[in-house]
Amino acid sequence: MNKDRIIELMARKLSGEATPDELQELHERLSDDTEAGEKNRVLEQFWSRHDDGMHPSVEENLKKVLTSLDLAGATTSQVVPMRRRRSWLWAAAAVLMAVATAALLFRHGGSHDPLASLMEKHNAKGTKSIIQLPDGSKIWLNADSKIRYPESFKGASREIYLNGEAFFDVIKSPDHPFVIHLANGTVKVLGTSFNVRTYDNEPIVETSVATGRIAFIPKYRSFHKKQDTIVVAADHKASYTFTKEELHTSATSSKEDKAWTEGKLIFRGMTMEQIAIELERNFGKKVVFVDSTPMAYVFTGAFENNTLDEIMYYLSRTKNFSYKITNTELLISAEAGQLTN
Amino acid sequence: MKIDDNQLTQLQRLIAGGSQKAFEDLYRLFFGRLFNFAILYVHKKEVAEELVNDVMIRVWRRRDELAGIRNLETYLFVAARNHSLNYLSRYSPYHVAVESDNAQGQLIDVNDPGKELEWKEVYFRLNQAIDELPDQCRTVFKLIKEEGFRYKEVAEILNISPRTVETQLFRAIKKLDKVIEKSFFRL
Repeated sequence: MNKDRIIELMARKLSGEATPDELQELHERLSDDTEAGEKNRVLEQFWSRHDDGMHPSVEENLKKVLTSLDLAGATTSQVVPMRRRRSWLWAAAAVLMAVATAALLFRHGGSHDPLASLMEKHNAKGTKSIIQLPDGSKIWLNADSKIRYPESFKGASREIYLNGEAFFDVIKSPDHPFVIHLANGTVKVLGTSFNVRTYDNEPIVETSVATGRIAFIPKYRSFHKKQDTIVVAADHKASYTFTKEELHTSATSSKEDKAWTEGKLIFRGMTMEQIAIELERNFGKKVVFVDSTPMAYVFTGAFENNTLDEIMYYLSRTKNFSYKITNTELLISAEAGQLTN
Repeated sequence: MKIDDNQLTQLQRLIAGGSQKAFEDLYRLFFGRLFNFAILYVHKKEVAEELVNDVMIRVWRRRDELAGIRNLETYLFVAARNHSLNYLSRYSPYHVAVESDNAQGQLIDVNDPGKELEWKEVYFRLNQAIDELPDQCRTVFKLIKEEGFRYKEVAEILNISPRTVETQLFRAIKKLDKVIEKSFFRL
């Protein structure tokens, strides 16, 4: 019990809760026990070190906040932080940032390349994020996706660039149409919410509308095709197979199309091969088919916040195949024997 | 407490009076701290950033109500916690790949007993031990060690009793003690 008492007193001392009597008691106990004294010295040293973490840029975030509060443009100078334990670190960071900003300004000074001033958000496989645009519009960016947008919207329209999948909730601004540039088309809206899916490794661009209406303009590469625009209403989607330049609209469940924003994975009559792409994106593990038979298996199912292991377990209960999850890969095979070694 | 009470009260008053500069000062003082706190819940840098920004946006939008807040520091942490919990209930992604920007220091050769343990390595192991603590225990530990909060304040922020705070801190320190013992005395 003596050991626990020392730990208890140590906790009180480190947190600043110890009374003078307790401090005295601790001191006595530690001088009787050299090992405990040594250990506590290490512990105190650890306690006094501060995790400097990896803060994202304070100034960049402050700018975002001021923009969404319509206070931008009048940013005041940086204050010296009050009594901070890590004030030197912050000062160093501030200097570094000032240098970096100066370097950036210098590099881009005078140039008017519209792409030069774009911010980029790139989600790796297995990560998703939410982005608030300077006009207040919100974007849920799926895994393995990239978006580029200006720091602030200037000019007649609000223009952004997307690769991958994102759900948009666009703030209405009739005088400033919102334009999303895709590799194989363009989406124009005034103020609605909708999902856009345009992964580089998929031959189809899909835009599914949750509320309001959107205009989709496919990019035709062949000269004989005349440029056209289709309007898509709520609970409908436009699917554009750009490899064949075929465009059509159909009814859809917009709720299901945006289910990924809530951590759900829905497979509706999808082959294992298609599911593999989805799993790779969501869990960041490479899917390897040891033999090709399971690729053609078709599944329907919905998962919510399940682990890869759980999903594979359920899938393997409905169809006969085996799988193995390693640190970097998901191996799938028709026979379990192929996976051992 | 890390921030001077008087200065904080003054900022609070200035913001309530509509001073944008005071708001910016407050933001700079708290952004990093609230970010470190929110990430304990949401585990993702972008999300934590966004949640903290939301908290601060609300502070400005509702600056009329600021005068009624007794302790702005704990208020901000409570708000960050509420936002984080809301986020988790509304939108819980898989967050399988938690990106770590500071992955340095993780390449450690544990199979070299001849070499004297370096402080860096012990530091790493202790941090690792903290990461492995149960959520509430880790949060209590961080609020006390990194933010310098007292038991009573942690209790208010996390909506638990001061007694629980003490118990959780005890657990954390006990675990660290074990790690230190293993590192130095049981090689």
